[in-house]
Amino acid sequence: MAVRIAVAGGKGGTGKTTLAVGLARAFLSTGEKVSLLDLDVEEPNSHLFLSDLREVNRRQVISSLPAVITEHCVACGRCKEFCHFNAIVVFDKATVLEEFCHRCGGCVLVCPERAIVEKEVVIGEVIKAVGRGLELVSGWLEVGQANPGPVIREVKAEQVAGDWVVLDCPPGSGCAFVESVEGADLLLGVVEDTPFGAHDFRKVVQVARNAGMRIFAVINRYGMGNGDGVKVCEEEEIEILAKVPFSEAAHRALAQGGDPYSVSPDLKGILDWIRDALLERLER
Amino acid sequence: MRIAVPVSAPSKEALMDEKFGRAQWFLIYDSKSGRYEVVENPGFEASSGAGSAAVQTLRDRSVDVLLAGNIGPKAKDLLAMAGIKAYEDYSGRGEEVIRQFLSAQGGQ
Ligand code: SF4
Ligand code: SF4
Repeated sequence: MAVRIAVAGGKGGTGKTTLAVGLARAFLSTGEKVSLLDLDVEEPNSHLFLSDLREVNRRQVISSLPAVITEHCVACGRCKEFCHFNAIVVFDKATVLEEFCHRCGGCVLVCPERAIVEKEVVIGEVIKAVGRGLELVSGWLEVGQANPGPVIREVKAEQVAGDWVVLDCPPGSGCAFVESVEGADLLLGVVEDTPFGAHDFRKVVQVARNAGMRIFAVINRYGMGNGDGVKVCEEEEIEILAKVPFSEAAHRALAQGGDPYSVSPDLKGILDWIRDALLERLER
Repeated sequence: MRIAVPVSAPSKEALMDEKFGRAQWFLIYDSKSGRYEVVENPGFEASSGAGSAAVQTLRDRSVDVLLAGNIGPKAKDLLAMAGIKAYEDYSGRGEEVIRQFLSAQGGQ
């Protein structure tokens, strides 16, 4: 059985993608098969660090949304009364508020005038690329679409070959995050040593704990914060696998699309260390 | 003209409720008849779309103007769609708020 590692940061910009890509490469270097899933579908960026991969497959994610045929609507209000999510208002005619709609399809069924129909819309794409023994599956949410859930599910449903599956999770601890970590064996938190970083990581921990996941942490930009990130890990009894100091040189190289595993010997050493620690903890 | 204020109790002396979409009641004043009425906002404990339920209620009661503390961006869009004029930064008791508005309007 493949081991699924969710890499999550809580707040954005913690270096989560760097770690996810770097860790994938570290596993790869020992001859393991690795798949990387980019689930940060609103801003997928794992591919930026893996520009030499070759695209092998691309498919659209379709979702259906109710649409009102206004000429047929008699403003009876049944659809609005039915909708449990207040996703329909009827002023002169019914209007579906897409951002609240959960796509249950109920309004389509209850409209006596058949004035609501399911309309299919492309809400995103799933792209698979391979190269250097690595397989990358990225999800892309169309601009203007509010609900990343279906795209995340499609990425996770993709058949992957890796013995290690690294999940680059979206920031935050909301629905998109919950959807992303579901089914993961362990969570690797990338925590900034700041009050914000600590606060957001605590919420991530709550979700992962409830899902029964093992949790480990990596403190990023160690030495640049006030110690709150480390404190949270201590309070929550989460083992810190590594404290990564900030390096101006590595930061610059990464910003130019450098591969995290090759930009600096220090960073490579840390990534190998994290990989070995995980192997040991999982008794693999 | 019909004017609504979100209130924290079902009375015209009640304090305005800061959160428009989540207020349990609306005090509605009809300037033609000079009468007040209170309606319940079905969105007050909705887990989703509280604002849309609130705007729907106002629209169903033919409200023309909403006076509130603050109104979220989504609710503002819906109010505009419903043709309800919305004004923010009000506070105080329901009846007072309505009087303040009317006197600023030139004592209609
Ligand atoms: S149920 Fe149908 S006819 Fe009635 S308001 Fe809704 S869309 Fe219009
Ligand atoms: S599909 Fe369901 S959630 Fe969406 S508007 Fe219709 S009834 Fe509401």
